[in-house]
Amino acid sequence: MPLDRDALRQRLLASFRAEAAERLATLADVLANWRESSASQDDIESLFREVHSIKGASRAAGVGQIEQLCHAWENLLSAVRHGDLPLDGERVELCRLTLKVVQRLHAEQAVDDHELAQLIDSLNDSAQGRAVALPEMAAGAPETPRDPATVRVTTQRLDALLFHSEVLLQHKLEAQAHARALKEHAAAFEPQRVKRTLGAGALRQLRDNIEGVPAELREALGDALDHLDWSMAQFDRLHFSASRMAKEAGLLAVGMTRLSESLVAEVQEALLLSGASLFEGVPAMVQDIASQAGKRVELEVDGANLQIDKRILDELRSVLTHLLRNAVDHGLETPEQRGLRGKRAVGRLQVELIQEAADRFELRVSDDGQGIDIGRLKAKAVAAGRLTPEQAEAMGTREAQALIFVSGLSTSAMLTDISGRGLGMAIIQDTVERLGGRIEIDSAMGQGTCFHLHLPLSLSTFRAVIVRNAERVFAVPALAVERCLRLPTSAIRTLENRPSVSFEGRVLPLWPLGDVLGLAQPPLGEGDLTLLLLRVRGERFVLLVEELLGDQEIIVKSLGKQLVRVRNLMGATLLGDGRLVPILHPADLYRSALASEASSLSQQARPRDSAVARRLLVAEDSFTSRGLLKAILEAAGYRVVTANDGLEAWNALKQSHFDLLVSDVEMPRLDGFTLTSRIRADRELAELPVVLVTALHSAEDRARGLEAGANAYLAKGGFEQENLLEAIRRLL
Amino acid sequence: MPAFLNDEQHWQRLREHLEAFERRIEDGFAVDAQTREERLQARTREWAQAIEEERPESLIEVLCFTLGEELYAIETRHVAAALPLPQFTPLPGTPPFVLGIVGVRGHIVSVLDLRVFFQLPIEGLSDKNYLVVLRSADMEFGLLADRIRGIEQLRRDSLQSELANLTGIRARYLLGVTLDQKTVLDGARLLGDPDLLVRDEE
Repeated sequence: MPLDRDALRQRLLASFRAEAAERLATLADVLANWRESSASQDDIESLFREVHSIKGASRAAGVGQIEQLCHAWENLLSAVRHGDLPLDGERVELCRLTLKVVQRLHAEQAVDDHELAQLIDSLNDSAQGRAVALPEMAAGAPETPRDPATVRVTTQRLDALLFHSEVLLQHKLEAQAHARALKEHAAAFEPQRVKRTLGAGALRQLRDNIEGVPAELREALGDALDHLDWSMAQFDRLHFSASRMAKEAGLLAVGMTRLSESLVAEVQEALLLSGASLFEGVPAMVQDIASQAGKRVELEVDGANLQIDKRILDELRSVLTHLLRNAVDHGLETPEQRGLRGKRAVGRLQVELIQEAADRFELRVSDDGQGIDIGRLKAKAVAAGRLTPEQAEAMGTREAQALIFVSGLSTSAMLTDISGRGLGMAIIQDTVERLGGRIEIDSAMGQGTCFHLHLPLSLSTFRAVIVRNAERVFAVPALAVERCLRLPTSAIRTLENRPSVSFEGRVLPLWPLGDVLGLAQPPLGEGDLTLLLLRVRGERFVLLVEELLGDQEIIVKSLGKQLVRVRNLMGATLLGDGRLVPILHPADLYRSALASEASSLSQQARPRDSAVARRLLVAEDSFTSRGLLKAILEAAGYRVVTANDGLEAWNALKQSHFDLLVSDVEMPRLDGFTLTSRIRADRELAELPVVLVTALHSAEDRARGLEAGANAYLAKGGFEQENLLEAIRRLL
Repeated sequence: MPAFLNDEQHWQRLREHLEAFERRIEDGFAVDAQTREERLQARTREWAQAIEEERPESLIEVLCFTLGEELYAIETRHVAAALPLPQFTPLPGTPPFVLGIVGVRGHIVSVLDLRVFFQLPIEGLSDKNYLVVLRSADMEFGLLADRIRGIEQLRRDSLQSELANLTGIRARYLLGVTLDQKTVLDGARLLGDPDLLVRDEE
């Protein structure tokens, strides 16, 4: 095969870019540290090594400009490294300058040839300026040997693996469902076998006395008996193969389960990265910001060895950048101010990763700057109309500090808001909460500020309470749920037309979840109320839900690129049964609740009309049809419960009372005809009106439907809601 | 056979036929001069037709699907996948054109209902529902479709972009209409439209 030079060059260039990016980041960090502390021999060594490697790589990839520059730079460093030249301020500055140019070249920004030549000259002059003959080029220090058992994998690959493991999870669930269905199918043969044993006596009697049958019927009877024998043998074969398939499907499902679970666990493990990746480029960035702001900073980084979920680190990167920028811009004072206050001229920034528990860690970002000026923050909040002066007066320190998270107020009170980001802290809080964490502030005027971000180590440990309300399922972050309560209906009091409940001596506002989300709220049931006591940023309130389904670990996913932010939702998650469930955003819920209209509860409190809404069950496997039927029927004033297929409908019918069933005919697991026959054969349900709605509209089908015991049979072809509603009105 | 022919005339007719057959056999089954002339003319006309070069850039490849009573098409370069619509989850607080979300290969895709944009009647029970996932570098969503009709090549210049009854929002997302009345959607416009983004302020 001919060598494709162009393709080869492209490949080389791509790998050079990746390698150089990494090395440049290391270089930037090493150089950044030289500002305030003198360079150690180790630092010089590592700098030399990095420059040498970049030179080599750029030569291989044919990036001439970088190669030339690195060559001159390497010469200078080589002299320093051998102790032939001192590393004074001027040379450090020259190194920084060179790095900047290499970075620009690497980013494919145009660099003037003249500028490049000049820089190379300065490097050469500096290396030779002391009139020291350059020593022979030493071969680059050998690469630190890598652990052969460790390979590099791009994080995109890991993301892809994660997706695959989730898809496999889905297939596992499907395999389990198939295995269950096959098992039921095989079990369905059993009654026939039992009945056959019972009928065996009668058959034997017939066969034994066949001689006694009139001759003209004898042959027909013999044939019929033969046919019966054949059918039974066939039946046995089918039964046998069904049992075998059920067994095989069961094994397959078990295998899939095992595979899926271990793959998910492995991938979760592989997604743990060391905290060091969070700190990459941070020292250089901090020094850059500090130079721009005319401040001096010493950055201390700790805990780089902690293993944290990559997805959390990805999210934290911008959070950390923001916090550090704030700390330098607004937290730290200028060297002069610091001098006046009797502090060291160089400000101290500290970033630490601390493991708190087996599954949680803290990211702590602290500075020794001026701290948060609560007085100014309060004044700002009052000016913005967020607080009344009285409220501001009464507010405690902690509450007041939390004001920096309020949109539009955030950083401005801390000093000057250079970049005009009023939203910054609000976004940080949002991100941290979305990851299942919380944020705390410690600040003392004049002494500094410390942000504590408490977060889970892995996204798989995000816990949520799963609730059902008006036929929809939602997940509520467990961190926001203080208690789950069950109280009698009488516990609700209405204050100024606002419902509330009292709990442990405090009166808490109460909202039905449906009202908050703008969905229909089902009327109150007979029994106790299911309530969630939420605590969001210090506010406590109670949500009324229809049913509590449990709590479990979930994986938070975004709602997709088109839904950037949807009010009241922070994402969605895939439950174990394959259902996609929206995750509610507790802070939004509180805001929406405050803004919501009169509660549906106050209307319900009035005596209801004598005609209680009739309860209908809709069985339909097409969700579009199901949704449409539900909408039509609800609009007509019925209460509607839906089932995805005949079997689900049957179970629903057995579990609670319905006034009428509207069912599709063609459904998986149990079709409409069979469902209707079962209902007619059931002692409790025999009288239930059944309306079949179907795409099958031949006369035979119609006859079959009515024969099965349906009270009405509507073809979807000529389906009009009036027909349906008319049929239902007639039957109820 | 008409009754007024007598027997002699019948025989005469038969003989003529036989003679004609004999002549043709002698000529080696060649067609008669007139037919021959006609066929040659037809062939000449066919060959004389200028060959229209089908330049690849003048063709667009589209995925066709039905929605309600209408037939739509969208360029395949915007289509990431077409699949039976998985069970979707409706979301509270989204605009009416967002039907809900579905999980596609481990990540979440929102489902848009074009019928809302195009003011098509949203009624009628349809059992065949598909999802056409559109994707660009920084946008992804799925369109609800009733049935997928397959992939076709269309000539770009065969698209008629002005149609009197296509106005406002309907026209905004359309590339044009084909002669067989397929509505060709403008995938780039759909994917790039910031109005389709849902971004509630806090």
